[in-house]
Parts: sequence; C-alpha cells; structure tokens
Amino acid sequence: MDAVSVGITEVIGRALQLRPEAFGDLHGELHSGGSAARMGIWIALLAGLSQAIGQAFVLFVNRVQPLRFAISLVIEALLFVSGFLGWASSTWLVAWLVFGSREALPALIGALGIAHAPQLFAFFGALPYLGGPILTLLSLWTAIAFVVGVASVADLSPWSAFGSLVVGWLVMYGLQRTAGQPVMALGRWSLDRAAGVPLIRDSRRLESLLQAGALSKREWRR
Amino acid sequence: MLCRRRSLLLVLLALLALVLLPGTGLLVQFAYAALHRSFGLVVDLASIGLVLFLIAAFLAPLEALGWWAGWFGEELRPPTSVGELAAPVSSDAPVRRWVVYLDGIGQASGQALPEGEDFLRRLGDRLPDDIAIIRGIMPYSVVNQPMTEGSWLAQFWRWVDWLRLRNPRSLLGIVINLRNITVVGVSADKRYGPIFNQGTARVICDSLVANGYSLGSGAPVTLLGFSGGGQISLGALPHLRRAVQAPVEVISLGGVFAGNNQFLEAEHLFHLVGEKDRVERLGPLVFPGRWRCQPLSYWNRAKRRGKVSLISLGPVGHELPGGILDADCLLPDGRSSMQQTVDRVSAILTETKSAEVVGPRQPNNYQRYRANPWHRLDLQRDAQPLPSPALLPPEAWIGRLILPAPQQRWGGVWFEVFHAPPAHGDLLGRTLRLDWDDPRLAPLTMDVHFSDEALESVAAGGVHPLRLNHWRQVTPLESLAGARPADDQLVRLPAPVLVAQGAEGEGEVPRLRIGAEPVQTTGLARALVRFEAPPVGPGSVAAAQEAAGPWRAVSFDPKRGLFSGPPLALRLPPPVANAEGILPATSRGLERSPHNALGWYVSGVPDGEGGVVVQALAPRALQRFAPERVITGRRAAWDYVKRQAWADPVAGRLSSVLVSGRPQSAAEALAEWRPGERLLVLHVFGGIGGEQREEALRSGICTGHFAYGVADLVHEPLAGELGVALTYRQVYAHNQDGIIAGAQDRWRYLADRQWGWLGTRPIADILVRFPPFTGSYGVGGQQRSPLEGFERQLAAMTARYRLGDGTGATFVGPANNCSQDSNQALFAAIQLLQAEIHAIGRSELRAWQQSEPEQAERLRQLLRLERALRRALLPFGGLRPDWRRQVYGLGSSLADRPLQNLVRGLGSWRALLPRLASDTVMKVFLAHGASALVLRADQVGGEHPEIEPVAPLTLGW
Repeated sequence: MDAVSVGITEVIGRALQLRPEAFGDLHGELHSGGSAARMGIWIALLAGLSQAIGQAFVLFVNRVQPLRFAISLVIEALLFVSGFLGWASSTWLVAWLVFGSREALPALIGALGIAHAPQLFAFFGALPYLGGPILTLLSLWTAIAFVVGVASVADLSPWSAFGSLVVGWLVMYGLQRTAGQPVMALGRWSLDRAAGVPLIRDSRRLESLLQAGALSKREWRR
Repeated sequence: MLCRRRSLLLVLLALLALVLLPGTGLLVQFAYAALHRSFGLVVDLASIGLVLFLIAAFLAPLEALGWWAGWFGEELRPPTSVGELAAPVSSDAPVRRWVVYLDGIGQASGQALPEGEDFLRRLGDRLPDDIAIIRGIMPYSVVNQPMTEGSWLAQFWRWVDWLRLRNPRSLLGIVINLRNITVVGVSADKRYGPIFNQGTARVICDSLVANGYSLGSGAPVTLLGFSGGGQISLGALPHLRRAVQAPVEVISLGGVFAGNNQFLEAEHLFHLVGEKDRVERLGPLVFPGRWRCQPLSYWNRAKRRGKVSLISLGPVGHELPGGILDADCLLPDGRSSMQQTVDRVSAILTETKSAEVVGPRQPNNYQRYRANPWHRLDLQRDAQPLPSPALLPPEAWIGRLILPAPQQRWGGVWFEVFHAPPAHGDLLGRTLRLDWDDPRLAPLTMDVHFSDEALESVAAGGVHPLRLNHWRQVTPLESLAGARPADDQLVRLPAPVLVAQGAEGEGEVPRLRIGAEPVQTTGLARALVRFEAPPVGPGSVAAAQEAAGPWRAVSFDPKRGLFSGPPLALRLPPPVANAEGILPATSRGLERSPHNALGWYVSGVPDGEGGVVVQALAPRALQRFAPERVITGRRAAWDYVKRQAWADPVAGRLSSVLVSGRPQSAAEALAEWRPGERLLVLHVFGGIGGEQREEALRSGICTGHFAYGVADLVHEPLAGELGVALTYRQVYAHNQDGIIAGAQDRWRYLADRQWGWLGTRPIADILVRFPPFTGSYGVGGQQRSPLEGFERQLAAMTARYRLGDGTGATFVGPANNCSQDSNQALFAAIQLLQAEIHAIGRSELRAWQQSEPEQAERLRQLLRLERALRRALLPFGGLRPDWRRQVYGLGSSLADRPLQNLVRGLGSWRALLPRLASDTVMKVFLAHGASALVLRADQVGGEHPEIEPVAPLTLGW
C-alpha cells in the first residue's frame, strides 16, 4: 500500500501527460503482486468520487439531504469503479480474443484505472458556466489516455487498442441491457436507498422536476 | 449551432494541444518561471487569486442548490429584508407600474452602491408617484442574504465593503466583484440557472407583495438591472412572469448577460450601453448565445422579433469614474452621465405605448366579405316569415353570438335569436344569455395577452380575437363569440338546449344552456330546387345577376319524387372577390349545369321582397347517400381512395363512391348504411389554380387542408331519401378569411357562397363507417362512444386554437397544424376511452365481456385499430412525447423552438401533409374492415373558367 501511495502522484502526473512509459513502468515494476491493479482501482475510485462531485447538482435537484448526499457520493464512486472493472474485463477479453493480446487482466485494469487520471479533475465540472466545457475536455483527454494506456500495456497498435476499448464497451453495454440487468438494478437500488428518494437522473425528467418544483403563488406568499 | 460547436471544438483542441504536444508543458513551465523571476510576488498573488476565485466559483452554486434541497431549513430563516420603496407612492391612485432595481456585481450589503442609491433617488424624484421603485434587494443571493450579514464570512465582507466604499479603487473591492461574478455564472448556467433564477424570482415577488403589489392585478413590472443585475433580471424573468401573471419588461444598464435567457418572454428588453463600456462587452464575448453566428439562440431570435432595443449612451463607460451612473462625468451635451441615464430610464418608464394595432394595414378578405350586404346578419330581414311553403325551417335554435362587454362578463355570451323552435317562438328576436355547461371546459379557460407576433399578424391582415386581448379567464364560448372584430357569426345550438328563466337582477333575461359547442352555420331555411331561368331584366344576363335579381326555380316534391313543387324566386347575389380577385362562387350557367337535373340544396333567408337570398348552395348529389359506384375489397378500395379519387380533377365534376375494405357484394355493403348512423368524416381540400392561380400555390406545391368531422345518416325530408348531415371540426389557424376554428356545418364551411370553399376548391369528404369507432359501448353503467370522445377532444383543440393558448395567435408549423393537431386529438380520444374502460375494474370488465360479446369484440377491434394508427402515424413515437403524454403545447409559432418543432413534425411525418394524413388514416381503417362514402367535388357551382382545381400533394408508398 505504501509503495503504491508513494508512486501514485508521479504515475498520475505521467498519465496526465499521456506518456506511454507511465503505463510501461507499471508493466515492469508494479505488475507483480497486483499493485498495478490496486493503483488503477484507487485512481478510478478517486476519479469516480470527483465525477460524482462534479455532477452533484443532480443530487441537489432531487433534494437529497446532507448525510445521504455524502453517502450517495461514495456509493456513486463505488458504482463507478465496479462499472470500470466490468469494462476493463470486457476490454481485456476482446483484446485477448480478437487482437491476440497476451497481457494479464490485472495489468489492463491497472492501465485503464491510471488512464482515469484526467477525471480526477472532474469535480471542476461543478463550476458554474465553465463546468460543461471542462467536462468535455476531460472526457477527450481521458479517452486518449485510455487508448495510450491499453496500447502500451497490451502491446497493441493504437487502432487495435481503440477497437478493443470500443468493442469492450459494446459488450459491456449489451450485458448491462441483458444478463446484467439485475446488477444494474441493484446499483440503482443502492443509490436510491442511499439518497433516500428515487433519484431522477434523466435530463428531461430533471427539467420537469425543476419546473414542477417552482413554488405556487400561494406558497410564495407564505 | 454549428458555429458554436466549431468554436467549442477549437478551444478544446487548443487546450488538448497544450496538454499533449511535446514541449508545451515545458514551455508553460518556462514561461511561469520567467514571469515568476520578473514579477515574483505579483505572479504568486495572481495564482493565489485564481485559486481563490476557483474555490469561490466552486462554492457559488451551493447557496442556491442548498436552498432548493432544503438544507438550510428556509422556513426558519425569513429574509432579513424584503426591499423597500425608493420613493413614496400616491395613496389615491393605484400604482401603474412597479420597478425593481437590481444592482451590479459590486453590491455586498442590502444597499446598492452609493451611485446606485443616488440614481434611485434621482429616478424617484423624476417619476410620477404612480410608479413605484423597489430598492434594497440583494440580487446575488437566492435567499436575499447580503454578504455582510448572516454568514461566518460576514465580518470579512463588511470590512472589504467598508474599505471599498472609502476608496472605490481599492483592490480588495475586486474580491466582492469576483464573488458576485461567480453568482452571475450560476444564473447563466444551464444546470444551476433554473434553480437560482427561481429563487431570485421568489425574492423579487416577495418584495413586490410586501411593498403593496397585488398578485393577479396584472400591474406590469419592470426589472431594472445594472451590470450583473442584467443577468439576474433576465434569469428571474420567466419565473417572475409566471408568479405575478403580469407583463414583465427588463431595462439593462450596461448589463452583462447570457444569450440563453428567455428573452422571448419579456415584454421588452431595453439594453442601455455606453460606447466606452468594456465590461458590458464581456457578455457578447463570453456567452456563445450572444454570438451572431448562432441565429437560433434566444438572444438573436428576440432581436429579430423586435423584443430588444439597443440604446447607445454615447461616450460613457461602465463603472465609476466615467460610468453609466457617474454624476461627475459630463457629456458633450452638458448633462452628466448620471443625468442622461435617469432621463433615458424615466422616458422608457413613462412612455405610453402607442395604441395597440387595431386593424390590418390593408383590408383583409374578412373585411372585404363583410361588405356583402346579402351575407351580413340582419335580424329584421332574416327573421321574417318564410315566403314559400317550399322552404323548410330549421329545427334547432339559430342565432347570432354577441360578446358581452368586459364589465358584463359572466363566462357565457349573448345569443340573439334568429330562429327558435316553435315552443319558444316568443323568444324570436330577443337577446338571451347563453351558457355552455361542461366541467371539462375548465382547463380551456385562459387569460389572453396578445404576443407581439400576434399583433404583427393582426397588422398583416390576420383575423384574431383582438377584442379579448388582456381579458382574464376567457371561456371557449367567449373565444367563439369574440373570434372576430364584430359579432357576426350565426350559430346553430346543438340539442339539447335547456331554457331557463333569468335570475333576479339579470333583468329576467332567459338563459339558454347547452352541453356542446355551437355549430357555425349559414342560412335559416332550406329548400331543394332546380334552377329554371336566370334573372331577367334590362341589359345582359350578367348585368341582371350583378343587380342580384331573382332566379326562377322550382322546388322538389318529395311525395312525387319530381321537381313539381311550388316555384321559388331565388336571389343569388354575386359574392365579393377576395384580395387576389378570386370570386368565392358564381351563378353563371347554373341552369345548364349537369348537377341541375338532380337539383340543389339552398340555404338562405328571406330577401324581404317575397324571394329568398341563397347564402349557401350545394348540389344534391353531395348531400345524399346514393353512391354511383360501390368498390369492395381492401386493395381495390384503397386504390380508389389513394389514386382514382383525386386523379385529374376537373372543374365542376362531382363523384360519390362507396368503398369497403371487406370482400362483400355491393348490395351487402350498401345495406349496412342505415339511417341514424354516425360517421367519422375526413375532409381534405386542394388548391385554386388556373388563370387566377392563388398566391399560396406560387411555390408549385399545394399542401391543402385537413379536418375531421362527424356526419349523421338522416332521412332528408326535402328529398324523401337518405341524406348526410356533416359538421366539421375545423382545427384552423388564424387566417385572413375570418374562418373560426371550431364546429362548422357544411352550409357554412363549404356551401356558403361568400365564405365557403365549394365554388373554388376541390374537396374530398370521406364518411367512414366503422362500428368499433363510430358505435358506442355500454360499459360501466354508461354509454361511451369513441366518436363522441373524439368530438370533445376536437372541441378542446379548436378552443385552444381560437386563443392561441392565450397568445392571441396560432401559427402553422410542422409539429402543429390542422392535420397534426386533428390527429393528436384522435389519439387522445382513443387513449382516453381505453383508460376509462381500464379504470372500470377487472372483474366488472370480464363480466361485461361475457354479457356483451359483440361489444367486447368491437372493443378489441378498436384497440387493434389504435395500434395500427399509432404505427402508421407515429413511426417514431419517441419524437412526439406531446402526443404520447397528451401534453398540449401549440408552440404558438415556428420561431419558438424551431428545431424541436421540426423534429416533432417529422416524428409524425405522415400527418404533416393533409392528404397524406387522410390517406394514411383511411388505409388503416380500410385494412380493419371499414367502409366509407367518398364524396369528391371540384369547384362545383356556377361556371368559373378563370380557375381550375389543383389536387393536394400526397406521397406514394
């Protein structure tokens, strides 16, 4: 754990600069003992938390109370990590079956997790007016980091890495809509449970919630 | 949109390049180190400032979000101040206008900056005392909490505020500005804005009420925002408008605001800017919605629609010194900048708007047609005893609707009786109260405030309910009576009509009560005639017709089945041509017409000289159930409807064909049509071509018009045969002809020689018989009929069309037009019936299915029909959430949400074109075994060689 925390800032710094050796180093030094995976999961967890903070207005709109608000952020981060693990596994499968990569799953988890480094700034998404463009920038940044990370750790060309990621994502999307539905439902249930209200996340319904929430004249006078 | 995306992409790429390109990181580090070496402390301070600003910006939405989520226990903490009047107002007269001042980003306490307070003092002195100014609102707090009070940082802000007031150039003062800039960002943010702006609107509303504003009084409100106060004003605008139910305008003094505010909801935006104002320029720079290259942004649309007045203040800056509110900065004309601003604002506030547009710039068709004395309502002439036994008086109440004066309103309208059933003959000629009692009408009762677009449409010649402008809670009956500038609509009251004596205090005026919409009609008496000879008189025949002399005609004797009844003198006065010179009807060669042998139905009034004025004329072939052909089998029936019925229209031609979607004999198909049946009507009309081609066809495309209606298969006493009586439910946008959306019978809509379309347009009336839809169901102890439900839905839709949902105008767009909205009503009717039946309860429903197997089977057929209609009309159902959820929004005009309008229109693309909609619906009905009488007529009436019929466009598939 200590070894990981010592190296984490440096790894994040390199990942942010999209330097392939950030992921390559891992391949050499941290691979054994699953440290890469552990570090990747930590970064993904922090990125998930940061993202949850960046999009916390959804919780506010749903009128989630402070303690539940904090718990919801943590749950969202955990769900983010589990989603990430699913995606990493399907990407690994695709890289192995389709593109013939021989890299072990923990290494890929590590690389993809570290590639989440730009998302550590996702809390800036909460900034008024600037938040939207910042999130878009971070998404682009992260997408490139994914490609660089997978390409370097799994010895794939950038196009093959991109292909593994996209097909992996499609596989996971398909699973979510089919066999994974109970898991998805569990995730939603745990979020709703933490929030204390059935969370509305769909933008159209959020808008109507805001409209409906506009207080009536009588209430205004009160 | 494209431009915005491109710009955003460029910025993002630049930022990415900064991150990704090798060496850029080094470059930045080097630049930072170099700067640090040269201006060490300044760079450190700037960096700390940036971090602090980011933290402040990060925390800025928290107040609004926490307020929304109820984190602060708002009920326990009332606002410290609700603002106060800047100057006393007159206690004698009501306040004419309320002005709320929202200061710039420099405000920290409950008071505006000194120059702001000075400005308000001067403005208060200048304005008359029936205009109230409210000051003391903290616009940068959703709970009206000044920075200098309440929070743990209050002490710090008080110190900064004190420093800044002592020395306006104090650097620390910028901290207040920066903090408030972040709040302006919150207001402009798409996510936080709706919450924050609701909060500030609430603060403003509370302040108005606390200072004497009466909600519901309709007194207009002006939000006067300086600098960032401009954004706060515009953000709060739509919410405030909804809360106070009154017009709200905004005056922005060098306002910095985003382009995505709801400018279109403002009465007007006056934007006052100095030429040296650098702060205001930030708005058009940083808010993409303000960029010119975004033509669809609210800002640019509002500018195009004249909602925004940009007013230059000359060589004036933003803040002190030299700013908009600087009392020491002298302008070339000798006034101070402050004085100029006070002058301008008071001029805007005291300006009495020029009288509203009262009429069109040029005479419209409605005004032209009104010039025809023979088609004007005249009780003295029209209600005379009928001059011939060949004339059949109506059975129903017929009369003129009169809109009550504003001070007399009770929700109903006056009804001048032109014809009363024999039992109430004593009421003939009297003006009674008319009430339409139906609790389902409540949601259709609405306030009317004309939008600028509606007023513009009035000026351009549209006929709108201008008399109802600024009326509150206008009922569907009032909107019918007030649809045109004059009380000139004759209506037939649908049975049953209850007659009640008026209550005490009403001058004992009897009261008529109806349960359904009055039907617009033409003429009081009807006859079936054959024209024998045109008018004779000195000069040519044309001259005689011009003089409106009587035709000789002979009436039909139903007993003998011959035209051997009493002769009639029929006056067919030439109608007034429309603005394009097209005559709505002619009487040329009627005696030679191929339809003369079978005869004509005429509807009219006594001419006072022993004859009859024929106000409406329709060939008998169009009014009876006697198809000349019967086509059975789904494919053959569909081929007729789709291709043959409209093939090569020829002026004067008329056809009546029965089609059946089932393989059966002609006799079987005919035998199903029995008197008393109710039928669904699909009506389509085409265009006017030929020498006098109408303007609407200039593009070469004839879209035409679609309407649903209801027909009754009745025994026609004048002919002694089975006839059809049609009532259309016209979902008709406001127009130059004065056609009113609502129920219109065929006499009015088609056959009227001045206002109708039969003489000029090709038409198709398809009368559909499909018992699952046209029959009724006795379930849950009640008779339910999809067709009746449909009529109610259409009555609701047309009531909304008459008022444009309160804006005074309905415009045609891809998502909302005659065809789309009529079909939306069809869906609503079927869905409502389904919901009603499902609400009955499973066990009762099962019992019903067992006891009434025939009805249950019909219901199953109806549900199959609904599914098929949904597939055909809503192939992309997700694109029309308004249909699925039955949320009505007329959209008022294409300019409002144009893209959404287009997408929604395409979501139900088969209902976009009137004839295509009719074809689509017919195909589904035929596929489910319906039969239909297809009546086609092309410019039927007198000879009219100047025009030719043009079939409406459809698409094949």
